[in-house]
Amino acid sequence: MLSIQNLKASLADGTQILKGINLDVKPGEIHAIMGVNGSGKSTLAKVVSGHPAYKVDSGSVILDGKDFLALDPSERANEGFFVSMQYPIEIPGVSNVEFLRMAIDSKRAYLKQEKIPDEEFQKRLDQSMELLEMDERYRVRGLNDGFSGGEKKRNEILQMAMLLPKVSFLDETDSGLDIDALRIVSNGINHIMDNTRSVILVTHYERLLDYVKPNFVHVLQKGKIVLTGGPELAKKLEKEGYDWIREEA
Amino acid sequence: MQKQALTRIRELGFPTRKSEDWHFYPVSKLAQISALNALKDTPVSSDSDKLNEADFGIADETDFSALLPIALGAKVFLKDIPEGSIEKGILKPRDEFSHTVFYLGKNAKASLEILENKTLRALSAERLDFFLSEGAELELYSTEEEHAGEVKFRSIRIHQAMGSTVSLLDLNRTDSLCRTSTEIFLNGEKANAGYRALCLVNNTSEVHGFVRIHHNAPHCKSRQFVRNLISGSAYVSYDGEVFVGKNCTGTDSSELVNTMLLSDNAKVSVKPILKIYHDDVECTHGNTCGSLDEESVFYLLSRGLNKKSAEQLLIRAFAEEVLSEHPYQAGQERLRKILQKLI
Repeated sequence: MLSIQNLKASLADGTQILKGINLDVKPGEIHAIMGVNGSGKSTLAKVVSGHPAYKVDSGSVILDGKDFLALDPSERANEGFFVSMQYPIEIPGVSNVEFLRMAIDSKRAYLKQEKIPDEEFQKRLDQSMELLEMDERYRVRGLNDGFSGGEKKRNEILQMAMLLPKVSFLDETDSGLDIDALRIVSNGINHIMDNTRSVILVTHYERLLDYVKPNFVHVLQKGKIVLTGGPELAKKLEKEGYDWIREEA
Repeated sequence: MQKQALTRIRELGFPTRKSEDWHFYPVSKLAQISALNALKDTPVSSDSDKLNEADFGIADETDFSALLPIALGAKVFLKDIPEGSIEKGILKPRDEFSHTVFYLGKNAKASLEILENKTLRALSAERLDFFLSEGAELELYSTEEEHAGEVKFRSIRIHQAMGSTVSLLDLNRTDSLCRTSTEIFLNGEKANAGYRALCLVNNTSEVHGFVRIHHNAPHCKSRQFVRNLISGSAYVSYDGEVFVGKNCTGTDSSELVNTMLLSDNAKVSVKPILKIYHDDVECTHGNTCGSLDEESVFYLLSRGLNKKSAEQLLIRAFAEEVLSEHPYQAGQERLRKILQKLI
């Protein structure tokens, strides 16, 4: 289980972005985080994944009993945390497949396992690419090189499907997706989900939640979770916006 | 020809800090080399080669280093590749001063690797001249050795007739002071030249690239693509000029230099020059310089790669793009093998 308690984090210039986040995510659960621009949603993803631009002021992040904040970003990934970036970077010159194999083998080395056998890798890759309706070109193309925004998001979910993390933090995975791509990516997420894994979705739009049904919806405001509800909360936010929460607060 | 080269060198004199073409080079080091100081007394050997002096443009040559091997009496290795033939080979100079001349007949094809002599020398200078007839194709690739403490000059002169193609690929990982002077003359219509280089230097090595591409005929194409990965206190300079003559309509040229500085003391100087004397042309140039992108490193860390692997992957990816743009497999594979060992 991922447990975030009273997490406060700042930028290097001292500006505090996260002002006390509390969030418990159990295996098998899907949590959606919504909120206005600048409320701290992406910062939360980056802080939990260990981005060096942020300094943790106080609080704790525990995954399956391990102090996450004491680990470096690669260790966090290898412990089973996956963050899907809002703006995935491009690395021309390294093929998608080569990169996926490196990432899987890094995790296996960390877990003191042998490198992934070719057959197992190919099988998992074939299944994942089929699930995400990705054609053969994606194998040989450079990592995200020249990909459209939607293709990059789809490629992020391909990585998720290959790495099979315990907790996936998907930061605006739906932005830049057309209706068909949204359906495909959502199918992918649902397929990867099982009762041993959990997903945290950051989104601005309720439409993603029509495909990936969350157990909980949280509203983040000024660096704090100010409201938690079920899927109906997302529908209300879509309809009424965030002003009513501000007024209540 | 030796006499002519000596005369020309004496006319030009030693390069100085004021010589525009040697601006980035530590010219003061040349004065300490005895072989160069002896130039004024060098005897002229009986020149029995069958070369046509005019072909080599000695009288108009402005590059001291390109004259050097001839002036110092380098033996000439001469090779004719007849019309339509295909040749693969290795060029390896036996002496510290060497001169290699290739004539490629109509539609002849050659794939040549330049190897270095493994003997450590205080000074070495080689000159390679290539004359390509109509439709000929030349792939020329090289990998510098990691000799330390040498002063090295390599001069390449290429003359291209109509429809001929040249692709140069160089991996420079020298630990010396090295200057490569390349001049390509696109003399026939639709001639095509590609110059691609990757400098992977460390310690106190210096690599100076000097490239001149002359578009002397219409519809010719040239590409310069250079990537530098500089560590330690190494220094790389690149001085690349594209000249487009009158009536050279349809010229297409591009020049791109990307540098990654991997340490605080690494240094680079880049000078792109475009001299264009015709309107209907497309000539571009670009130059970037930076260090490893922190966001990219973080992205790879977030996928479980450790810091060293992440940085190596980014460096390899940066280098790989030069290789993948080279259109021939032989050079690509040879350099990729070396890179895999290095990175």
